[in-house]
Amino acid sequence: MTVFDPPRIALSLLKWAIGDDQPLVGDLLEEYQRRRSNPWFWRQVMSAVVCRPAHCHPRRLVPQRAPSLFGLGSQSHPSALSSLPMSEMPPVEINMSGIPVNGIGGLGLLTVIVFITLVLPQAWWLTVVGVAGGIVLGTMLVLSRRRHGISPDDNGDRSVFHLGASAQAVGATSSEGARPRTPRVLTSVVAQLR
Amino acid sequence: MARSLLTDFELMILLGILRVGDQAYGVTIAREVESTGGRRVVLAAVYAALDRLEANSLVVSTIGDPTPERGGRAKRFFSLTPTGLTAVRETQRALVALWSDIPQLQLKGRRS
Repeated sequence: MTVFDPPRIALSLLKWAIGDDQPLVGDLLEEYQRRRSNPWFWRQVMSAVVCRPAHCHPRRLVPQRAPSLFGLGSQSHPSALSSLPMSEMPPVEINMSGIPVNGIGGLGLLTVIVFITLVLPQAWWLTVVGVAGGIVLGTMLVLSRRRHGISPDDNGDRSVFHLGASAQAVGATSSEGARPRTPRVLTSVVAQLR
Repeated sequence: MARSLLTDFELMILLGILRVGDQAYGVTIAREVESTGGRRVVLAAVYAALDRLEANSLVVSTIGDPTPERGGRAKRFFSLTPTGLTAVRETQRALVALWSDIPQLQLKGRRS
């Protein structure tokens, strides 16, 4: 029986993300023998990397010592919290920086910090307010969703954290502008968010 | 506590397991949902849903024998628990109750 090989890079990525001995890897290889479609295999692999099953014990996509300012580098995925007790939480992590490439988000924040410190140190309070607002808003929304028992497979949790990241960006962006214009910028952004 | 009602995807997965029977593992469940349910699925999403259902004690899984076309990896077979079967029935009852008595959804030929 001829066994067709899937794209090597995709297979390596799959094994790296979810482990070599997982049934999902076997299932994808088996289905690839029938379909023999590289785009299909790549799509499946990327989906597997993004939504890794909980039974897999993957390597951490976000390094533990990543440049996570204010402890925001990585957080447990809220979808894993709703149905399991704390002691049984799977080691699922998401990148809180809003950028899919590891390290870039932290590097971007570092750049913003240096930029603000050098150019307009007086605007630091706006950044702090923006970050604090993002944390509070994201936490409140997650707690609200959990309290109302919204299904853990909803994509809303992701948008909650995007919202939090956006609030951080609002704070950073606002602080980069000149001081007299800042209140107007903030007012327009708040109006858009509403 | 397990939720009594299922999401549409979870319901399709459970019905797929019931339709496939003893040979219900990731590939066969996904094929059943795609062919009968008419919904394109990715295997990772199927496994994510199956893990969630297993955590809620709605399905149980057993590891089968490895096969060459799978690169020597074993299959993971799934079956419904009594709780899972009850959840399917409860969801069916709720959906049928919601569907009934809606004039816009009545078939024209079946009106009396």
